[in-house]
Amino acid sequence: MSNSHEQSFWSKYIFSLDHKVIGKQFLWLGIFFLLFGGFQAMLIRWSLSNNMEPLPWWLLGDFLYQSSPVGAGIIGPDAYNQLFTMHGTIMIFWAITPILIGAFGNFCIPLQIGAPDMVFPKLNMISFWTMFLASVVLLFSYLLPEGTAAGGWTSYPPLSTPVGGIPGQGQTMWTLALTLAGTSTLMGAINYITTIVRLRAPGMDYFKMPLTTWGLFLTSILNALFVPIIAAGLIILLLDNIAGTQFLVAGSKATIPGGDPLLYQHVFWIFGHPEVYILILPAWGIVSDLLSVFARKPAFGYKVTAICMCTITALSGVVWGHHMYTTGMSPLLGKTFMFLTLLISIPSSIFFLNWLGTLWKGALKFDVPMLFAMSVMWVFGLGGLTGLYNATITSDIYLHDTYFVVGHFHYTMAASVLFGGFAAIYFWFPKMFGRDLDPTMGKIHFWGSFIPLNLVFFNMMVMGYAGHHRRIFDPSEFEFLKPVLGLNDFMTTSAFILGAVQVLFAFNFVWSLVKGKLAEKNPWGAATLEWTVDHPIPHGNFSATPQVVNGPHEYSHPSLKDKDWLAQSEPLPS
Amino acid sequence: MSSGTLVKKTAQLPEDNFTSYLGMIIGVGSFAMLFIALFASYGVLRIRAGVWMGYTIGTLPLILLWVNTVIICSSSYILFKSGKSIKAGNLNTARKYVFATLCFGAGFLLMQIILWNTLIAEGFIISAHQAGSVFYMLSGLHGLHVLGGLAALMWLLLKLTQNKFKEKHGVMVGMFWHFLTVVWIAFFILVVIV
Ligand SMILES: [Cu+2]
Repeated sequence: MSNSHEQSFWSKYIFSLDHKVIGKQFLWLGIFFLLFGGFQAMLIRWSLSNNMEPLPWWLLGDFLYQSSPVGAGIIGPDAYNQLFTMHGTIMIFWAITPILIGAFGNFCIPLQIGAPDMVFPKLNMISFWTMFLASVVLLFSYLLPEGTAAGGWTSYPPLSTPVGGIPGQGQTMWTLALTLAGTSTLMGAINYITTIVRLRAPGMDYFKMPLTTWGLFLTSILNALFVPIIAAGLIILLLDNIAGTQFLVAGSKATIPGGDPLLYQHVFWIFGHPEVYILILPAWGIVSDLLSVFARKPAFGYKVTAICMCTITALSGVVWGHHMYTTGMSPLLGKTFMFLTLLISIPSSIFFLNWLGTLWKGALKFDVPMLFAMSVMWVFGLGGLTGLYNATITSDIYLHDTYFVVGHFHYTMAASVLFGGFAAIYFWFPKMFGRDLDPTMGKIHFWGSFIPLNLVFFNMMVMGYAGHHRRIFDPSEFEFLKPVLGLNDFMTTSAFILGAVQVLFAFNFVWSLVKGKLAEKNPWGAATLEWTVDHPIPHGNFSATPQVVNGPHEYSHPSLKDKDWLAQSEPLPS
Repeated sequence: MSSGTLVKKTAQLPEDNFTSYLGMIIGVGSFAMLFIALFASYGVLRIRAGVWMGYTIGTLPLILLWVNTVIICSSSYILFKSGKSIKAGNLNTARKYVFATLCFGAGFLLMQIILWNTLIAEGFIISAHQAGSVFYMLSGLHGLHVLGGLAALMWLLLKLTQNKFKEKHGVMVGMFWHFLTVVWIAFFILVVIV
């Protein structure tokens, strides 16, 4: 074996086996799709406020929808259906999943537990390239003559089946792309779980792991259990689309008796509800750690927070029926699902109180990661509270499929997870790239995101309460929506500001990569192991396997003199 | 990048058996969840249907199904024997057993293709009724996995021939292959017999 290990450009940056490089690859992919999906949100808002009007130049004008049947540059009803379908699909599976799980899962887990790499580096690489292939398949569906899938991100039959559904091959491509993305996630989950179980450094007990790693660990368990379930649903859906089966078709258009569209809803939500927690658990973990770092005191009730996250993970598998109250399920079953769902608010409240406990009497430092971490408390708190109205049958029957639900899941999934992701990006950027993200632009990005985001998402719930159905193409058509049309336009303006500020973020990201201030080894004074290694971190991470002696949040220990933190591998000075 | 330590570091990743087994168990567990979800979906459709099989399939396909069950069970047994030989340090015998498993596996897949063709000729096609759809969905997906299993067996055989073999290789391929047998037995009992 030779001593020098020359790596070509290809094996170093493209087909790398290094978890840090793979993490960055996922980050680039995620940010690309975040901007892509975000742009679609702008188009949706344009269409909701300026229905059937040509797109302005700053939304690319008639460069888009050139051959639209309703006129160049105009979003027609079919195009609108495709827009919100792909917006949801891309944001959930191609933006926040790669950023939180792909990028930070890969980057943080081995570094935080003191491991040289993921335990199966080749599987890790294949996982990224499977995701890349999935992206190609998904983007290819934009070239189809009938366009992309248009049955909503949930792709309920009959909208998603050829019998009585939307014409074209978009749905087939969507199903294939999602199957590939799921396979990629599954390979990641196998790696993450095995790595955490087997590669923890000596002394790194489960209850010494940073909460970020805890969140990613539980997420991976949920992925390994429930991604195969959606895969089953996708296989059934795919066969209905290409093989002439009618598993999910019922009613007068069915030529094969005995199909059942509700079957898909069950399979989808058995996966779909845990998916919400798959996305938010890493964000919870990140926020729990960051609050502690920037309050300069140990996380309040660390063990309890971890146990609460485990409890929620377990409960998340048995509550899927709360998405289906209006499908005519038996009242007893509905009440059971309602009870189980409301049960989740207990562990959620406990660890929310722990977050407040961490902040209580802390020496708060309002750096950009902290601003985003604290904003997660606000948006998640609001998202969680409004979830109670959706979980309760009596109010859900009225609110079902309105913008109230859209507002709720944008608060929980989009706002909470995305802000958790932004917190993570601002926090770990110095360790990932060796430079700091510009804090001034960061603060503008924060306030420019936080305020308009709340103006959009909160008013979504108001619109929903006023009766705005989530899939209405033109709200101005309806008499009962006339009183809230002003609000509708106000939301659109807010959304455009929100979108414009993300361009600043993208600029800051690229600019700081090249011109940013060179980062210190531990700019935030954080205690977890990733901050004990120098930049650039070599392939293999630690020069010597760290010996863990402390918990992950040793801040402001009274016996410390010249600094206020203690790395996990650093013994207390005697 | 001075990566003199790099080679050493990457080699530091533990090569212990349990780590590999854990990864494999999670993987096979996920496949199990997939098949459980599909069998459950079949259960839902079947319970809702009332009358499920309003017709009978021919004698020949039924015989083929029984024969295939015997073939795949024997293949698992032979692979089990190969594990015993590996434990006894008798790699030559193990190689022969693995080769035999591979032949039985390929035979199984060949017979499946004959079976599918016979059934299609009889008019038992995927889009004829829910029973046909379920039959082809499950047996087809199982067949695809068997194809993967055959690739794994070939890889194992290559390792054995090149003397790069480690005990865990055999155990991991074994886990997957026996899993496929279990899925087939479940399919045979739940879809064919019941
Ligand atoms: Cu849910």
